[in-house]
Amino acid sequence: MSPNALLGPPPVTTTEVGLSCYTAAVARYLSQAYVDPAGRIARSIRLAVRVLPGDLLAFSHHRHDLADLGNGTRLIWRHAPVTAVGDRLAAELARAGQVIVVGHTGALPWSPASIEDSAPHFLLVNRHDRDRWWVVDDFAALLPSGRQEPFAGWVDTRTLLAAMTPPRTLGPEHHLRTAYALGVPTAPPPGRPLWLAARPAAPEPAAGHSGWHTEPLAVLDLLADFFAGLDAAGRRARFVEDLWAAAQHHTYRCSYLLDRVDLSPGQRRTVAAARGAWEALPMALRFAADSAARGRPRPALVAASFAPLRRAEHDLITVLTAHGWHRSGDVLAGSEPREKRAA
Amino acid sequence: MSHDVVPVPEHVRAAVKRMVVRESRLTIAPDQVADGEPLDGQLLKVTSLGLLGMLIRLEDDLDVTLPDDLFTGRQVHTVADLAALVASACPPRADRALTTGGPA
Repeated sequence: MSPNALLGPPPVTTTEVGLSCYTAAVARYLSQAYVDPAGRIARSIRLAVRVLPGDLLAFSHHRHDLADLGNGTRLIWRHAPVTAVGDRLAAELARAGQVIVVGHTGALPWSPASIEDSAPHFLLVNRHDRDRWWVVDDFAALLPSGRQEPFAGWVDTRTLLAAMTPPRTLGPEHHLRTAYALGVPTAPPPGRPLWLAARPAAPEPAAGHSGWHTEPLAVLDLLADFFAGLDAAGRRARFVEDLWAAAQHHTYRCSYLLDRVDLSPGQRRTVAAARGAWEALPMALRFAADSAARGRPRPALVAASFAPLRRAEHDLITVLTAHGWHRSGDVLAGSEPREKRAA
Repeated sequence: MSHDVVPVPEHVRAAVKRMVVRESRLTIAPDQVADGEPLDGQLLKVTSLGLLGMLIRLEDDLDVTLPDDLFTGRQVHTVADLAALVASACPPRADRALTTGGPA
């Protein structure tokens, strides 16, 4: 949920805090590989959507392949039975010095989420000492179950393995989020502890966009129609969290542009307006979802909430294009060759 | 975007103050809360999610439908802001005027 949609704008930040949990962990991992991981993340951000059977949506938040570490290695999914995970993670830490593991919020001691609401949550592990693991979680947000603050500390093996064990309550929306967390489509095996490890691999060819909506305004139109259909059954409400993540990402992109890119005064106003419009959207959708759940659907409110965002994004495209951050007819995801690697 | 300023009926103001006191887990009387009190300040502690829940409860309690442009171009910082927002959805209370303002 957007932290301050009605209460006012948040402070500008381009740290990892403010991103979704997936991207915050990836951003920290990439800081070992790239000079400007924040810029790499910010330039990658856009929203692509694919409609799937069963009233499902898949979201890709990055037009650049975030798995590409730029030195001939890529982040690749790894998995193992619970009994083998500890040894495999220790080996990965010895090899790469860090690893992203998929935890689940309901089993994280620092998360307010309940077991019933448990969702996949990326964590960075970068130290191991006998029976304990140093875990970094930059994610911070006000959640329906309470406020989650960033965490960095030792976690024992039992707790880490419990967090990595997928609960049976996960739905298709959770699997889709994990599959597209890096922008490109991946196929993590469901039902097993997962982690992302660096492995030698050729760059992925740019993924085509067959079936994907990648043009920003078309995406917003599709989403406005989709969420106008929020109903008491709540099947579409599960994707409100994906829009929350998109809003976090787009807000982050706008903040990066305002902080780090030389913009004209007019461009600054355009970017600030887009940031404000994105900030307002999640709260509106949550309200619409809650209203629909108690039998008071609000399709006009959904339309009214997307309209200013569409106008803001329309204006923003000009700014993004001028700075090389957008091009029409984008593919789903491809590599970003101009990145500088860290020494 | 501009929004019309509407007079705030007393029952709306009272309902809003009851709600913010409960949301902030305070034990003070609602009428001790000033109209200009910030929702997220020294006295009141209303988060964005708390505000969302209050909006929904206010709709139910007052039997109103908040405007469709609720989340576009509005900033709700104070109790008075929230009361004005809710009041904008309220029809005139003719029944109350008849029972409390006229001769028996």
